[in-house]
Amino acid sequence: MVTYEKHILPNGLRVIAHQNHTTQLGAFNLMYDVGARDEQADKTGFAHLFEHLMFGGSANIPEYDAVAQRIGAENNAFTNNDITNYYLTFPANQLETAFWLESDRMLQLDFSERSLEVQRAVVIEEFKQRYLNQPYGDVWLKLRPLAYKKHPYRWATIGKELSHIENATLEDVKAFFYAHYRPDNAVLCVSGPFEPAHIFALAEKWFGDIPASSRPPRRLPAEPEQLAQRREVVQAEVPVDALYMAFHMPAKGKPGYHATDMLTDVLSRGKSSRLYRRLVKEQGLFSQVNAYITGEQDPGLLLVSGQLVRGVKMADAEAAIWTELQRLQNELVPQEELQKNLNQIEASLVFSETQGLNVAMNLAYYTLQGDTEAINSDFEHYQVLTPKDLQAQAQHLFQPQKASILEYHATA
Amino acid sequence: MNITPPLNRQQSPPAAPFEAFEIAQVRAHQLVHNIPVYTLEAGEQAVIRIDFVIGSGSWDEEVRLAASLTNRMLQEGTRLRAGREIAEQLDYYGAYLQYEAGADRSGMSLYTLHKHLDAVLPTVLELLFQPGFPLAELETTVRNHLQQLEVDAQKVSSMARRQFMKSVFGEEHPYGYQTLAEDLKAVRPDQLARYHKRHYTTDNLTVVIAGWQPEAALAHLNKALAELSPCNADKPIREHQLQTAAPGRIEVPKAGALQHALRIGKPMIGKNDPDYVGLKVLNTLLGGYFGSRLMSNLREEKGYTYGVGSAVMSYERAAFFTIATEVGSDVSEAAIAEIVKEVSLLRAEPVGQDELDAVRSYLQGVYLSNFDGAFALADRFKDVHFFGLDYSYYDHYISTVQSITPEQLHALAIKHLDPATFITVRAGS
Repeated sequence: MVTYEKHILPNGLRVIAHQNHTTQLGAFNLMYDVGARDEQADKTGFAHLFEHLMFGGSANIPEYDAVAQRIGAENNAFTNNDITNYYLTFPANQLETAFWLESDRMLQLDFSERSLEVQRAVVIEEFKQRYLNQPYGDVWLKLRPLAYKKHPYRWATIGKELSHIENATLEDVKAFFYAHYRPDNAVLCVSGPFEPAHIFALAEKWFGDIPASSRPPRRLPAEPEQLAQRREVVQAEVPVDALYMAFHMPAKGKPGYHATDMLTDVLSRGKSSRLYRRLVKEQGLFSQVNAYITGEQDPGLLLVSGQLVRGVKMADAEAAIWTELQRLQNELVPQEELQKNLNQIEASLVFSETQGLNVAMNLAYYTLQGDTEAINSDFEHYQVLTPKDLQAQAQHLFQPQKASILEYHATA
Repeated sequence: MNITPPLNRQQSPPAAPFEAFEIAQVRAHQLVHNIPVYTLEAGEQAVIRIDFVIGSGSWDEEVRLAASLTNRMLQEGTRLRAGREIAEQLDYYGAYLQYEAGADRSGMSLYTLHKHLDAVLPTVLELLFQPGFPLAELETTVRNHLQQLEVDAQKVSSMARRQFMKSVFGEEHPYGYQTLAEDLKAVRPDQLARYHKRHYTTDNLTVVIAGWQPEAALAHLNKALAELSPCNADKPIREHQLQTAAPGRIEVPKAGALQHALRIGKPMIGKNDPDYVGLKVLNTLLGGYFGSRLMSNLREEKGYTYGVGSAVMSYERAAFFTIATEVGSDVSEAAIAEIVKEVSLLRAEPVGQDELDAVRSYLQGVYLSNFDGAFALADRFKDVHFFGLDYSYYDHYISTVQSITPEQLHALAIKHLDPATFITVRAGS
C-alpha cells in the first residue's frame, strides 16, 4: 500500500508527495506527457532527441550535469512512445537544488545551435549502437510499421531513419519545447523523508511562475481494426532464425488490459510457464521464447517472440506458438495456474515498492494517466480475473487475421 | 529545512554539506553445521533476499566451465524431483532465484515475500545440495547456451570485451578465460556432479539474509539446514599465473560493422592495495561519471559516441582497469587518440581543485545511495567480507574521497596509468 498526497498548482502542474522515512535519499521524478506518438511523420525521433537537449543548459544554469553532480545526484532520463521522463536521486538535504534544476529547464531551455549539433551526432551513434549494429537490433524498426498503419506508434522512439535526426532544426526544437514542456503537461513526484507540505511549498516556489501551455488536446488517428494477417520476411546476417508475432491489445488500464497482461504471464513468466516448458524444454523448438506487452497509453501490442533452435523450420515454430495460443482459447486456465500468476504479480509489486525512485515513477505514471490511486487498486484488477475472462480475452486477441508476423531468417 | 526566500533563479539554493551517517552493519550468527550467517534488517516491505554463497568458482574447476554449468544446472532437477516440478513450486509462491557463478565464488540468491519463506526454503536447499544433473536437461542447456554464444559473437562490444579480458589475464587464466563452444560441448554430467560434491558443501557456504525481519528467517533456515548432513569441501589450492599480452593494438575484425567497440586498459592493483581508493577517485574523474573528462570530450564535445566509461574492477586475486566505448567507425582512430590524450594529461599536470571538488561531491552523494536499502547494504558487506576486509574499508574510502589532493592523484596517474602499458582492443570493420 503506497501512501501519498497530491496537490495541483494553479498553472496545472500536478505534484505528488510520497513520504518515506526509511531512506536518506530523495527521488525527484518529473514526467512530461509527450512522446514519440506526438511527432510528425516526417520528423520522427524528435521527442528523444529533445530529451538529450534538455541536458544542454537552461536560462540560469549553463550546465545541468555539473550542478547535479555537485549535489551528489545521480540523474537520467528516458523517452518512449508516450512519455518523456526525467529523474534524479540525491542526499535528502539537497532537495531544493533538485527543484532549482528542474524548474529552470522547464522555465526556459537554452536553445543552442552547438548543443543541437553535438546531440544530433550523439543520437546518431546511439541509433547505430542500439538498433543498427546489433544482431536483431532493428526488429522494432520493422515491427512497428508492420503492426500499425495509421497511429504514430508505427515508428520507434529512436525514429524511422537517421535522416530525420540529421535534419532537425533549432526552430523545431523551440516549437517542441513551448508546445509540450509546460507545467500543465507534466507530473512531478517526489519521494523521500519529506513532509508533503514542504514539497508542495517548494513546488509553488520554483514552478509556480511558469506559464501554462496552450497545447490543444491530443488528436491522434486511431489505428483501424486489422482485417488481414500481415507478414514480413527478413534475411539478415544473424546466427539463428527468430520469429516475432504481434497482436493488437487494449490501452493501458482499459477493459481487457489486465487479462491480456495476465495471458502473457501464463505464457512465459518463469521457468514453469507454458511456452518455456513446452517449446523450449519439451519440444526443443526455441532456444528462448517470450510473451510480453508494450503496455502503452493507446492500444498497444502483445508480442510473442523467440529464437529458433538451429534446424527447426520457421513454419513449425510458428505452428507450435499458434497451438499454445489456441489452447488458451479452447481450454480454461486452471485456477491454480491463475493463482500462481497472481502470486508472481503480487511479489513483483511488493519488491518494486522497496525503491523510492520506482515508487515515484509509478505514481507519476498513474497520475499522468488520470488515476493516481491506481498504484494501489491496479492489483485488484488482476485479482478479480477468472479463467473465463482469460479465455474470452484470448479468443478476442489471438485471431490469425489480426496478427503481424516478422520472420527473421539467418543468412550467416 | 527552511525554504529560502525570495526566489532568485540565478543563485543556487545553499549547498548542503555532506552529512556523515552510520552504516547499518550485519549481525553475525552461526547456524547448524557451523554455517556462518549474516543478517541485515532494513525496509518496511515484507520481502527478503537470502544469498547462499559458495566459496569456489571457476578458479577451482578442473574441467572448463564446470563451475558455471554446475551452477546453471541446479535449477534443472534434483535427485528427488524434476526441474519442472521445482519451477512450478517456486513460481507458485512468486519466489525468484538468481544464479551466479564467477571466478572466485558461486551461489544463488532467493528473493521472496517473507510470508512464503517456509514454503520455499526447503526447495531452495534441495536445489543447492541435491542436484541431479539430468543429461537431457544438460544437453538442452548447452545447446541454448551455444546459440547465445553465437549471437554474442556478432556484437562488436562482446568481441572486444572477450579479446580484452583474454589479453589482460591470459586465455588460460580463470579471469581471462572466455567460454568456447568446444569446451561447452565437452562437459559431461559426472564432471558437474564431481565439482558439486567437492565445493557445494556446508563448510564452504556463507549465508547473507537481508530485508524485513531477517532474524525470523533464521529459524526457518536453521530448520531446513538441519535436514542436511554436514559435508566438507575437497578443495586443493590451485594457482593460476597471469599471462598478460604485450601492450599495443589488437584488431578484431567484423565485416560491415557501423561502429568500432574499443576496450583499452591493463591489469591493475586490487582492492587490498593502499592505492586502490585513490585510483577509484582518479578513475571517476577520468571516465567514471557523466561529467568525466572522457565523457565531456568524446560525447559532449565531439559527438563521437553515445557513451564512454572507465572502471577499476577488482576480483579477489587480481584486478584490471578498462576504458570502454562504441564509436562511429570513421572516428575510431580519433577517439583512441583523444583517450590517450586525456590519460596523458592526468600524468602531465595535477587536476584543478574545482574539478576535484566536483568529483568529491558526486562520490559523496553516490556513497549514500550505495547504502540505501537492505539489498544494497548486504552487497556492501559482501564487497568487503569476501576480500578479507571489514567495514573500516568504508571509513578509509570516504576519508580518502574527502581528503585526497591533486598532487596525490597526479602521483597515482604517473604510477598506474601509463598509456604505453595499455592494451588497446578495437573490434569492427
